[in-house]
Amino acid sequence: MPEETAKSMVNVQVDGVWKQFPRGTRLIEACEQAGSYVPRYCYHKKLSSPGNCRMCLIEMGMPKMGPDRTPVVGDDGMPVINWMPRPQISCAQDVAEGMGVRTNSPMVEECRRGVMEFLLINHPLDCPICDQAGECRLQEFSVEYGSAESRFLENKVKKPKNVELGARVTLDDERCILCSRCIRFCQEIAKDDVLGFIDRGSHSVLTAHPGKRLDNNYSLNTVDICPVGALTSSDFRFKMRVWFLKETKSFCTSCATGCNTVIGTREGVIYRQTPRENDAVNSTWMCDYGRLNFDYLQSDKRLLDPKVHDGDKLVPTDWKTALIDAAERLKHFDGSEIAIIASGRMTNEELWLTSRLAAALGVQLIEIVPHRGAGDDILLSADRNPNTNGARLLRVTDEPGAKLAAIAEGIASGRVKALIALKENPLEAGVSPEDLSELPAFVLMDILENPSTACASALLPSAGFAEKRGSMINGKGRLQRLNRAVQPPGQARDDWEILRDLIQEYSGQNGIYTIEEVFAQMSRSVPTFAGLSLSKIGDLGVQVMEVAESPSPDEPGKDEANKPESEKAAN
Amino acid sequence: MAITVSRPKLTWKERIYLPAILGGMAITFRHFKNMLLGRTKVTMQYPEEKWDSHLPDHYRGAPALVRDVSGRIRCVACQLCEFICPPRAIKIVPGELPSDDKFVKVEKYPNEFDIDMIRCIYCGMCEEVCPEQAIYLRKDYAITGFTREDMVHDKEKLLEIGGVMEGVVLKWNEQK
Repeated sequence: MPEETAKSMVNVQVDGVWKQFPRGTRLIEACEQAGSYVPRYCYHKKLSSPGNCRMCLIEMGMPKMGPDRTPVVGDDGMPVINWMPRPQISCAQDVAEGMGVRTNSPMVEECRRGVMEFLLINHPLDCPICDQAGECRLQEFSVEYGSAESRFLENKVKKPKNVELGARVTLDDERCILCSRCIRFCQEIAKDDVLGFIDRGSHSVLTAHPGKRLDNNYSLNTVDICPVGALTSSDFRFKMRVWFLKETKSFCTSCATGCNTVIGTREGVIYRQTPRENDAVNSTWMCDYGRLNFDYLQSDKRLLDPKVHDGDKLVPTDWKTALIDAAERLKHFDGSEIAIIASGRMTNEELWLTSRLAAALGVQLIEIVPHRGAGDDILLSADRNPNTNGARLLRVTDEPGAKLAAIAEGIASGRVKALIALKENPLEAGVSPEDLSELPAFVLMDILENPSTACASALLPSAGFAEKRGSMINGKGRLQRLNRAVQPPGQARDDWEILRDLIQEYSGQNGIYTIEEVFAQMSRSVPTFAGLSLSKIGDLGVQVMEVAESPSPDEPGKDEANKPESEKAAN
Repeated sequence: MAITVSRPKLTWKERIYLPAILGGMAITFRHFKNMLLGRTKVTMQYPEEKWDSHLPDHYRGAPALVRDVSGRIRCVACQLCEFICPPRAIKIVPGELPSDDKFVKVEKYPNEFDIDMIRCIYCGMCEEVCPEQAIYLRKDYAITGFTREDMVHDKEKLLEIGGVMEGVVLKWNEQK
């Protein structure tokens, strides 16, 4: 008999080797854990198993029972397996005690070749123009189980091509292998049942229900899970072949959820963002809003050169001049006459340096701007600031937005004579345009041109989320890491470097030369970060805070929800 | 470490050089005689005269884009040649065919297609990798220009060199 196992574990023989798996494990997952990847199209581990693609056929057996209904034990002390004469699908089967699986027997290989031949009968020879090429399951398994020639002499079935399924998804029905992943995703995850199959046999096609469109905020996930090129992203369509893309692990900074992502870039241009699996944050999904919110980094409105106010206009200059100029302007004022508007879109490192800058200047009036929008109960958070928790932790804010009225009032009344705005537009934080243009000193660090940039006395172009390294704490208290996917354009610099140089203008050298040193100094002064470093955060992040769910904010605060452009205007 | 090279021992006949000089002069006078009789033909007056008709079929000259008999640019901007190109001479910007285009079934076409002929090493990998039989190495070898920009062949130039290719697979016709 097999050795005693914990109640929750079962013994399974995979390709002749006995292994233990937790009860309830899908057989296809068990095989993968044992190192035998079973090809599949319809099965997705986060969705239900319909078992309709038949690609994951395996040979299976159950323990041979003796006359006394106990398993017959073989010479090796393990149960003798009665192999079933027909193949089984491994995706709709849980492991059971004494079960045996063969994933690479001649019969299994023959089954896979047969399934591949059927799937390819009507498949168009589209690979040269198909966006999925390079990450297509059909291509990959064709290499292993496809045949070099088609035995199909009849004409292929014609189906609709280039169908606009929704605002962001394009469908090619000829490429579809009817795996139903997208249908199940819409039903089970997005809770927006709009897709289905119509017609029969080889004329069966995927389509949206009459009068419906695939327009929900999670529609592009269907593109990710589509194992072939049937569903493609209209945004990424024909932009770049996937094998050119350099993939950088990062996370989305469009809301407080912080979905883990992979940023695909080539030669300094961002082409797409795709979700990356992290079960503690976003499973394997992300919303379309966050996924497509990177175009602003490549817009014409990017600030490229540091500028200082000379006479009545802003003139481009070099960094040294700009920083000295910015510092000189602020030196004329007492700490009580200066206000800082920081941003919940800044990283922990930047916020920590901001608090150091505030301390060096003696500034008390420091606040971040709240950004809120409609959230949902899937992934999108109502808090559109990715790092509100970091700003709270680093004492840049107590309650986001609480002091903004005081800052605006102080500027209007003339008590506040200098303003430092970091990655935020003061005009959206309650400061009136007249007051801003008459402010004696206004130092602005931002990435995009906006109505406030013209008023700046010193303009410092900085980096967007994909252009810098750093860490943020998401809405659930998880510390996550940004990685640099592309270089900032023009003379734009890392935010932390700008802040460090500004601080140095007041307090001299501070021994910070790298982002790692910023984090090291920060972790010494902030107990939450004790013992951590950027590299220890890892790709999946570290839970650093216990955060109660933020009070449900269904009402979109401010007028943010109506102004997507302004939301894009900052990191 | 120095290597001592042993010099050949010359015979007295070799040491007086005269036989070698006379032998050389004999060859010179033979050529002189052939020239006077019009029998010598060793120099080709390039570029007035060219050897082009003798180029072998496998000759690899400048890469070029071809059209098929229906006039369609065969390239669908799959960018495999850009990927395979060892000196990275090829740059493609793909585009989507408008829905009223005659060849809209193909969906994709090269919006820009540049080959930097300063970089090109005439290896022929682009032709070999092309799944659409769209790029061929033609027999053009005298690729010249006054500036670096002149040496970049854009789509129009490549199509001009390429011309029409007959006898290739027409996989985008309606039958598939």
